[in-house]
Amino acid sequence: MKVRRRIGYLPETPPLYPGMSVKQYLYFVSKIKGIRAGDRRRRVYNAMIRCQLIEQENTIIRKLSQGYRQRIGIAQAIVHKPPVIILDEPTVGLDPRQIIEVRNLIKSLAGEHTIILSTHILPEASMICDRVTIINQGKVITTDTPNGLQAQLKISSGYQLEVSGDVDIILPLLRNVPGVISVLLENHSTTNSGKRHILKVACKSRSEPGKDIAKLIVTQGLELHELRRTCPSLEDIFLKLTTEEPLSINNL
Amino acid sequence: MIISNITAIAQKELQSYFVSPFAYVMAAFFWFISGLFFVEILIGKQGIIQQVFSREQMGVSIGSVDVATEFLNSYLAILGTLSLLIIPILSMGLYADEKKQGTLELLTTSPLSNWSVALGKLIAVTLLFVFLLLPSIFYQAIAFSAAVPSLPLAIPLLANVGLVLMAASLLSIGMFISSLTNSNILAAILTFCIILISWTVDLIANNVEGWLGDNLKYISMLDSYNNLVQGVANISDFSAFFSYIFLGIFLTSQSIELFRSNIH
Repeated sequence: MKVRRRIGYLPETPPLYPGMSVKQYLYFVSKIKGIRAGDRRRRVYNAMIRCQLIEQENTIIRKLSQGYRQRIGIAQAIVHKPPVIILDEPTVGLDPRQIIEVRNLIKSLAGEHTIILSTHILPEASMICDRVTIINQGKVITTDTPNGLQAQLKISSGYQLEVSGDVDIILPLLRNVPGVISVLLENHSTTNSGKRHILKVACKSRSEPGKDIAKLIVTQGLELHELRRTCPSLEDIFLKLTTEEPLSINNL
Repeated sequence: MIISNITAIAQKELQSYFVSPFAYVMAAFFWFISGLFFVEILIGKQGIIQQVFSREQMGVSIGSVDVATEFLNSYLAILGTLSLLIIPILSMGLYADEKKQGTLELLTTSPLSNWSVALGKLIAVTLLFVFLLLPSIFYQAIAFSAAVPSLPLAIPLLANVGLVLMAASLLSIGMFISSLTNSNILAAILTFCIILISWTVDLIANNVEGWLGDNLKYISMLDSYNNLVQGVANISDFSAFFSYIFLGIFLTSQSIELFRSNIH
């Protein structure tokens, strides 16, 4: 019971009573969470302000959109000011604007509460979270900051180049640039201005061979159309850690 | 603390009945039927008053007939049968709706004990039943106030308390069944079956002699109800009803405990 008083929990589908108004619902939640009668009004209004529900306080929940319902769900989880908030997939089924709203709301809560966010949308995790734990089949595989996880992969960053000209000359030269581990000739596209090749360069983490690569290409008389840095996303890390299969260093 | 939890749940339940058409539809149905039977039994062509009157006219000696008591018995028997039909519908959504909406997770992760949720829900739905009963109590009050010699107040009171107690027992069992499923219809059908079975227990009890029959009478709700309607107040009848109410609440909180351990 003591534990339950100290957590706020938002299941995947927000637990709402469709027949109640927003205010009635939050009053009910504050009652069953054991908030004293004198504090309820203040707490309910605080939660509604935090989640921007004030203008809909008397609307019946049945009539509100999914984004509002999600916000009511979060209001329900914070109304009794628990030290820990557990959110289970809070952005599922929302449109992109609502997703941004909900994410900002979650970020704004981070100062006062410890938030445990369960999600399979990995960009979301890398955007919002300070620490990421990857769990595969019930086992904790790793726990780290999103940046730390990226550093964990030895071959982390790389470049993608788009050049035109004679590629075969520069391939061995590129491999000799310090910091570069491998160069892959991916494919070529034909545009109006002629044949272009796409090269993928993998390099050691924390090395910055970009300017050397560019200089080399230009001095060899090739045309450089694009030079783009690629980073492994959390998806790559997740896949690498949860599957045994070797993974290509860059994702496209 | 516990009291305020129970009242919070009960309040929420009662409110949910009256913001949806649910309570109004039930009330319209129950009030119409119970009013119809009231008129028919008391002053209809086959009614008690008419029967006594015609027999007296034909010169048949029927001794002294206490019309008021006769009426109470047959009217409360009808109300008991009507309850058989509406109780499954009242109890079906108690937990099934919460499961369907996902709100049971809110209740089970809040600092509430399972039994206080169950008790709050049972209180609310029993109050709804009493609300449905109000007009027929009002009709009875009119009828019995005109009875000569007057009927002691305790007798109809005991009969109606018996009806509410029986309803609460059946609602408690129905609540347990509702907690097993997230389908309202399934819960209603199962509850209806259980009520029918408990009715047949009474039938068997009346037909079986000796030890078995006596014991079946103790667990038969209908038998206890009939005793209370006839003005016989035994401790055993009250304790039978309260045992059923307790059993329902206990089983419900156990089944919710199971639900809780399954989701985690």
